[in-house]
Formats: sequence, C-alpha cells, structure tokens
Amino acid sequence: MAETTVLNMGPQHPATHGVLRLVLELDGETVVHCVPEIGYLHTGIEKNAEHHTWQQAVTDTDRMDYLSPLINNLGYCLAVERLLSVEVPPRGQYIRVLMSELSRIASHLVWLGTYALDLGAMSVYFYAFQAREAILDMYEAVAGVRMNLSYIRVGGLLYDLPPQLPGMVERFLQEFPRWMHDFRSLLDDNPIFVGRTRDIGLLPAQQCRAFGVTGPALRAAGVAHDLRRVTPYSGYEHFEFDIPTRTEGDSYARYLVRMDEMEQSARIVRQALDGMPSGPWKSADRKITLPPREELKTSMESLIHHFKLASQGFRVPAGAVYQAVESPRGELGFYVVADGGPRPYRMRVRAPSFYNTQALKYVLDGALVADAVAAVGSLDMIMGEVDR
Amino acid sequence: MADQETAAAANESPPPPLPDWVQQVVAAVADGVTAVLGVEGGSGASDVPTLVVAPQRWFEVAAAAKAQGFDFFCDVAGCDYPERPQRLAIVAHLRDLDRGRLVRLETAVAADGELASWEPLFPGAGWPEREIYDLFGVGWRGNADLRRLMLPDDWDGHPLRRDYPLEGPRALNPDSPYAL
Repeated sequence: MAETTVLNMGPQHPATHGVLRLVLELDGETVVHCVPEIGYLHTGIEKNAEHHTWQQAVTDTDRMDYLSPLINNLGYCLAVERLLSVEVPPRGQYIRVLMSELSRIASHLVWLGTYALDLGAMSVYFYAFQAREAILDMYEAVAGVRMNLSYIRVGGLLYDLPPQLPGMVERFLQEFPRWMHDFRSLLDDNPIFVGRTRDIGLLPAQQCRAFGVTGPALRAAGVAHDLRRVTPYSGYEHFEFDIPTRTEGDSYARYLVRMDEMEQSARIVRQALDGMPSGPWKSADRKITLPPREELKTSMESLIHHFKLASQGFRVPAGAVYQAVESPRGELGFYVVADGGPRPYRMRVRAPSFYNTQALKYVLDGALVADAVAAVGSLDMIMGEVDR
Repeated sequence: MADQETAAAANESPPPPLPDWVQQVVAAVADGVTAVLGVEGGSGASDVPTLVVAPQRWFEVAAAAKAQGFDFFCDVAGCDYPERPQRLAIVAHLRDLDRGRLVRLETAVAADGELASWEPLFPGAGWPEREIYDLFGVGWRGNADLRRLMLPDDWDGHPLRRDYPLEGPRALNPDSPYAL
C-alpha cells in the first residue's frame, strides 16, 4: 500500500460552516479514512438548562440550531407541555405551525445559498439570502429580533401575531414561486452543479438507519419518514402536504428533496394563513402563562400570578418524556426529565446534525478529497447543534 | 364480605398479554428485561413503550429489539440521580421506521460503571456513547474509539453529573488550565 498523508480539514475552514474538523487520511487524492472531530463549539447547553427555570430554558434551545430557532423552541415546549398536561389553543398551534414552516424555508435557503457558494455558484447565495431576508423581517415583526427568537413559549407564544404579519406572509407567498423558479433555473440543470453533486456523498438507506441519519438525507435515500406525518404534533394532522423523497441517496438528491420541501412548506404556510382561527393564542392556565398586561391593574390575583411566574416560574410534576419534532435537518428530540421542581432536571437534546455529522465517517471513505466539500455541505450540519 | 371480594377478583379478566414484540424480546433474552412500562399488560406508565434492562444484558436486549424491527438507532443519553446506588441512568430510543414505532430502553449503572457498547449493532451509537463517557463517566466495552468527545482529553470530571458545579473547573481547581 502506498504511503498515506494525513490532512486536517478545519476546524477553521470556510466549507465546514462552523468549527468541524475532519482528519482525512489520503492516498493521493483519495480519502482512505475520515475521522470527524467535534466539540469546538461545546457550550454546555444541556448543563445550563438544568440551572434555568422551565421557561428560561426555552432560550437555551434557540442557541443550538440557530438557523431554525422556532422549531427548537417548539420541540422543547411540546415536551414540557406534555409533562404539564397543558393544551395550547388552536390559534396558538396554527401560529406555531406557520412560524415553524417559515423557519424551515429560511433554514433551507441558507443551506441553498451557502452550498451553492461552496461549489462556486456565487449568485445563488445572494438570491437565497434576499428571500430569507423577507422571513427574518417576519421574525422581527413577531418577536423583535431576527435570530434566537424564543417566540414559542411553554403554554403558547410570547405575543399574538402582529397585525402586519398576514400581509407580510401573503407578499412572501406571492413572490416565493418566482424565487424558487430562479433558484431551480440556476442549479437544476447546471452541468457544473450536477457534475459536482450527482453520485457524490452517497448515503444509502441502510446506512442512514444504522447511523441514525434523519431528515432530507434519509428521505433522499428513499425512506419517506417525516415526524410531522408519523407522530403529528401541534396540529400538523390538519394540514395537507407531501413528503418529497428521492431514491439516489446522493448530494444532488438531497438538494432536490430540500427544494421540494420548501415548496411543501409554502403550501403549509398558505393553509395556516388562510385557516388561522381566532381566539386565545396561549393556554389560559394562569399557573403557567402570564396574565394579560391590562389585568394587572385591576386584579390582585393576576398580580400575584404574574409575580410568582416572573420571580420563580412554575413547577412541573415529576416524569420524563421524549418529544421529537421534524427540524430542517431531521429528528430533533427532547428527552426532558422533571423532578417536581422549578427547573428541568435534565434536558437531553437529540440533535439531528450530531448524527448526520457522525455519518461522515462512512460518506467520505473512498471519496476524492475534492468531493469532500460537496459531500459535507450536502448534509447541512449546524455545529451549534452538534456540539451543544 | 371477604368471599365477595374473592369472587370479584375471580371475575376480573386476567391482565392483558404484553404486545407480541415485547414477548419476543423477553423470550430472546430471558433475564434481560426486568420491567415493561407504557404498554398494555405492562407494570407501569410511561410516555413511550419502555423496557427496563438489566445492565449486564444491555447489548443482548438491543440486539433482540433490532431483530423485532427496531433497526433505526435514534439516541442514547445519560441522566444522573446521585441519591440512587446505581446513579447513572442510561436511556436509549430505537425506532422502527416501517411501522412508525418507538421504543425506549433504560438501564442504570454505578458511578464507575460500564456497559457493553452498541456500536457493533448500530455504528451511530459510537458518538453518543463517547459523549456519555465524557460528560457522565460511563465506560463502554467494545466502543472502538472511547475518548472524550466534547471536552479536551485532560479535562477533570464529568460535567453533566448533578454534583459538578456550573462554574466548571474554576470551582474545582483554580490551577486547572481550563479555569477561566
């Protein structure tokens, strides 16, 4: 066997989108062996959550997958609500679905732009980020910030939708098909893009199962597994949407699956907007959610509830639940343990990127080093979520 | 009065049998499953069908569950209960994608405990086991690359244990190179 070279790709490398280090053992241009090294972004989020109140811990979840903060909020809040046996009213559920799907589109748009950029297609990046900007404006309208929203709270939401939001969503839905057409005409049949992604980064269904790979990577390998359909949550059973799948299991198939998913998400957004119920948007349980501001001036009881919630939070009955939601990257699971106290006893996060990144061991073996960037990027890992 | 109670007990239908796949797993590893929760005929409540597993049979029960169709590795996590003699609980989830089922496997080991690695069954178990080794201090027999995953190799202690201070190394040893 020829002498091999060890090449460190990362942790500071523009194509690793964060701080992923790949130790590549090379025989000429071929990767003989790949060892992904992680932990450079470990911030102890699970430990921190044990020291925050139940409601404060929502802000920990944003900071893992910062490209789809709302879906992280949702998974955690659903888990805590199950422990509390609290129901969120229909309007709250619809707003959660609406914002989650916008979040999925925004996340896929970042992936699309940066992935195309990795492969040398500069212009897609600008178009994709321009489209994402419209969604960030909506984030700002609902929660006042453009990242780390913590808009979804245990028991409901932070605020109701602002009056200008339906118009913003409507304008976005009008423009979106044209934008999608632009992206697709730039990439779908682009010989360079197709040449660099087709048959690259192969991850067949059997390997996905063994490595716990979920999301677009699993669906691109022919398994129509989507938690919004398998175990519907937050009222997803009321929405019509398809689960796009491909069978090739390569980077190009993952690209196509994500493009189709964005169109399906837009379909869900349309249904959520048109069918938006009126009525309360958070639980009426005053032991969990804050009373309306105006009641504080007239009701002593509301003032006490407000004081208790703001100063010490609420307690959650002892128990453990596993709640999984479909994030843009796959199965995002929260295993939450309560001991009856005011803080989570344990918040374990099953991050989809963590498992998808681990599969690089398999994906890069035997690949050409020049294809490593194309294969890594196509798995769309977020290091904040991998390292937590 | 006592006779009536006996008669009432006799009239009650026998407890429903465990689901078929649980029976198969129990039959495959006779001494492996110590309790079944969250299913009809089980001995307790749980949000997910749960098998409580004897630690020495951790690997065999997973292999039996895999044979019953739970071939998608979902997650394995730790949770520390310092007041228990077997303080480190290990909680794993497996999925059956074809039938849309989820199962939880639970066990517990002492502070210096060790379990058989699932890596030969599910390559995906490699990293989460290393994470538990790193943050809880559970050893894994048969994990091909048992090193710390998140923290530097010379880190002291296991931060996700309940008695590890939130402040980190600074609170334990001011001379630690990681005391910030």
